[in-house]
Amino acid sequence: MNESTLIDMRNIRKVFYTHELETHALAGVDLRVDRGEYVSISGPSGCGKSTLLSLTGLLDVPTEGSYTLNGTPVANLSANDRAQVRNREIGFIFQAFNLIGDLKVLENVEVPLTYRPGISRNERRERARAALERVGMAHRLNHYPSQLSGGQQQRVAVARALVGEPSILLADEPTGNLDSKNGEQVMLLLNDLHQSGATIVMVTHDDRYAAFARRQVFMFDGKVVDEDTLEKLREQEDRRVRELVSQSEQSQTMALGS
Amino acid sequence: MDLLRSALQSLLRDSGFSAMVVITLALGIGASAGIFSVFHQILLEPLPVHEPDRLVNLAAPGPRQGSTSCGIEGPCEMVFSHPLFRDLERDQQVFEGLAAHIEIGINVAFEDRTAAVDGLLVSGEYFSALGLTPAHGRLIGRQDDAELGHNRVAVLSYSYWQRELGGDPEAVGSTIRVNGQELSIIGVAPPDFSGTTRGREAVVFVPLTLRWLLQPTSPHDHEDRIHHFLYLFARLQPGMTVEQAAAGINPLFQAILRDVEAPMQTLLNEAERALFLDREIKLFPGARGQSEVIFSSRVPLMIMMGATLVLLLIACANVANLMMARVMQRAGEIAVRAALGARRAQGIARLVLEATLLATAGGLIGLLVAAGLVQFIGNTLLDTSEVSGIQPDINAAVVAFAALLSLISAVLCSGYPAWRASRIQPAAALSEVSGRSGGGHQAARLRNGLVTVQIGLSLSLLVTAGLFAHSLWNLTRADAGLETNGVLTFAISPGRSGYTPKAAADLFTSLEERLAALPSVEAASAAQMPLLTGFGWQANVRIINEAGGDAIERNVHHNMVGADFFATLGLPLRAGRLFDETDRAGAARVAVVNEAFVRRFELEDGVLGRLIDADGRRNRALDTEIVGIVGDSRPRSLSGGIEPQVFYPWVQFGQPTRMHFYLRTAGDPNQLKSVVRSAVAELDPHLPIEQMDTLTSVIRSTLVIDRSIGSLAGMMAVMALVLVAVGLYGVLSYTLAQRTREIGLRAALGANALRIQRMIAAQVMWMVAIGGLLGLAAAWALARTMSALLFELQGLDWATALIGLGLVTLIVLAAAWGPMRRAASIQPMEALRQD
Repeated sequence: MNESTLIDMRNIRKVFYTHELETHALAGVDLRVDRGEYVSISGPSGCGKSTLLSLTGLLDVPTEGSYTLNGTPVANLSANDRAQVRNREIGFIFQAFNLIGDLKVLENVEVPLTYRPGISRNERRERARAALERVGMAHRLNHYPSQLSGGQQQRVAVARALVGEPSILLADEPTGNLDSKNGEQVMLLLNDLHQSGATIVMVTHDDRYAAFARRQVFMFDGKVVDEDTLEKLREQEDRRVRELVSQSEQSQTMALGS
Repeated sequence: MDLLRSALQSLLRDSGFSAMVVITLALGIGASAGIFSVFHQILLEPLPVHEPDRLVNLAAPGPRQGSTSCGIEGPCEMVFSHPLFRDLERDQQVFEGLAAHIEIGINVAFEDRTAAVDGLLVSGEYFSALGLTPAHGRLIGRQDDAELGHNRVAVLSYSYWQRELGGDPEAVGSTIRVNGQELSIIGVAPPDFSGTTRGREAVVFVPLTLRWLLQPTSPHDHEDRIHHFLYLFARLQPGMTVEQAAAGINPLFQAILRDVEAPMQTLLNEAERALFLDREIKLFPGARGQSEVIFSSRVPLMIMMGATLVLLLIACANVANLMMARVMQRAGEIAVRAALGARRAQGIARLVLEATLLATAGGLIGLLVAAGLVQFIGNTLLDTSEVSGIQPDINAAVVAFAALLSLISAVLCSGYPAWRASRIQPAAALSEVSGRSGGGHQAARLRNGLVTVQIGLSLSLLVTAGLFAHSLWNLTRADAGLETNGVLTFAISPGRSGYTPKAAADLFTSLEERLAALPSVEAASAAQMPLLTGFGWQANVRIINEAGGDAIERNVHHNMVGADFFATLGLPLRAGRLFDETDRAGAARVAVVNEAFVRRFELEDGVLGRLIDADGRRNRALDTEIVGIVGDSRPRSLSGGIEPQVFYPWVQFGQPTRMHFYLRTAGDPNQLKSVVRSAVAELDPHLPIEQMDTLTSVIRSTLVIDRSIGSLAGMMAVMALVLVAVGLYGVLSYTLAQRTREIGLRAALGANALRIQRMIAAQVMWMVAIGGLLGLAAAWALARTMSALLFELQGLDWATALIGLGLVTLIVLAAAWGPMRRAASIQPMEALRQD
């Protein structure tokens, strides 16, 4: 691992236990992200990409494996320490925006800074205002989220992710709740941020948006695969589905004939 | 019917919610209805007479010379002299009837049964002015009240006639012995009527002209215009207003003052004389009779009524919050119904109907709570107090009040939730994720606001209860100036058993000697006025001052006592001497005064040896020498102040026919009761012993109102705190459910568990801060209103207020602890997955 490495995950496994059922969401993932990279993670539903993003963002802890973030091992931190690292190192952009309805736009953007000691109220305001200017939302400071369009809400969410000047932005399906026009605008915004030096990891299932990233990571059944392998796996999957459909049609014909 | 069935089914399905609402409302409505029962009977219920609204009570405030005897019938400014009453009765043309009355304690004997009861001396128009008709026989009329001591007749109360005479019609025409005098029973008063004084149940009514026959030692003041003791009321002519009546009666009254009474006011100075001549009769509503109980209980009862209504408000706030949460949880269902064609009014009607059903159930169970509370009040307050004839119960008025409260509660609890429900937009609600509709900022603010108001109201109740507790604490620690421990007291009234004043005096002397000689009795003494029971004897005293003129002091407390009175009650001698065996009847008259007396007359340079006249209304000789000064004491009650007092040896003054006795012992005074009974029985086995108790118990019984108000206010405050805690817990839990996602998000953005707990605590503390300010402001206003009821507390006692605030804060934080912990344990992953 060199100094440019920001995220270094090795053999990350995540198992969910529900009653007597074990679900292996991640089955030994290795992922490295360097500073300034723009990485997309894509794959079919249930492949584990959102789980990987949650682990990357320290919203959850891996069942197994090592994770070094910005040179610090973070896989086994306590909940409070993880909260602190999240606050300083990571900016989240969610599919559902997750703005707090009771707070105005400016107050929403201030939220991460309120958990950081030593920042005065005035400084919080100034930094939040600057973040909103950066995403073109400075004219809506005193609006409530419900008074904004989906695209505007996501811009505010991006500003909130930026305001703490984190090491990395994690975006989970940032266009999932937007129409194509607003989706493209958000992607352009992320692109601009990348141009200005931000490190971004984005989960998406949409190939159009995955293409915005400089590097694409593909996942299938809880593992990271390369693009060729993914295509093969997809073809295998499609073939199997076609066979299932064909078998089903044949059995129906036989039943009607008899 | 479908709507009713559907509402019932919905409430039964949600049985936990329904039970919580019903119990909460039952507590609020029940407490209010219980207190209302007492409130109604004492302050609202009219006399059971014909057109009670036409009755007015008379008062003539202002300076006047002479002595005033006032009692439970009302304030001292409401009493008139006998001759003045007769003048008005004879000459007035304004009222349909004018009557006078005064209570009298009597021993009544019928056949072989004897009892000490309350009686009423009434003038000839008493019953006719009330518009009463007899249940049997006839009532006292003008002809019975025409000549002093002439018509020896009596009317019995219906309840006494039923209880003691078995409702025997033959009783009318027979004789009854009252205070040793044979009176002929002429009739029975109507059922439910027991006099015009609330708090006194008169069982025998006798003509006023028999006062001097039945109370032979009372002053011969039937022609005395400066002895004021009669209470007057009148019946207005039909259609006449109070103002018209006052305008009609005052020319006559002022003519009497000017022409007849003014020349007798020899001790008034010029200013007082002018005010005397300006006096006029004031008329007050008399529908509820005349009673000091109405005056003295008004503020305490209003405070208690207010406290219970506050409790009900808190209960309603809780229920409104619960209903609000339920509406928001059912937003999806309401939206579906709307989408299927339900009209807005139908949605509102359904919620109001549900609230009405719950409030009705709350009201019905509340009546049971009220019955329990009424029983508690009856057992603790009324049974141990001096009042009688007040028996609150769950009558039609109370049921109607409970029904009204139920209706109001239903409206209060369901109004806003129903309005909110009617505002739910089907499209928006159906598009929202189930269970996530929190009703927006407005609903959240309302929920928090309701809890904030609840905190304020409960704090005001708690501080009020604390103030009463503090006042009671002050009272129990108050220095009466007497050594009250180890003292037994009782009274005897030989005058009511036919003793002549001379025979009564002999009896008192013998008894004093026998009691003092009892083993284990350290000292014993008689006293005409009982100590620390609320009673007092005020009269004027003249004393020669330095300049040689007269000094008039109106507010001197008198008592006639035995020689060992000071030793028995532990009153220390400051100067001079106490009474001794030389102070016999016929010897030079002597008096002992207290230090407050010396201060009042500004005689610090020397009071011993000065001559006084104990009866300053006449120009009698100044023939009583002050021989001693004793320490100060509170003669009437612990809450009463130190008063200037003068003590006389009872053997030298007057001829009392009733006397109180005090015995000091080193042991338990209760142990003396049997030997005291024997000592009295040896002198007269038929003489009843009255009010035998320890002096400390007597004092305790005088604190019964303070204790009852304190305990009732305390009960209300505890119930309010429980309701607030439950309400806050509910609101926070609901809010938490609504904010799970937000809290998860905050955790994702870096908030740790402590931060999240602090966030919830801050929300709660804001409510405590605002509610606390509201509550303290309300408590401050209340404390000012109740200052007359609080002993040695000037307005709001900040220590009590801060303790109350601290207690409320602790309880609120305790209620918030569970939700705070749950909030801190929310996992960001879990919360953010709730899409």
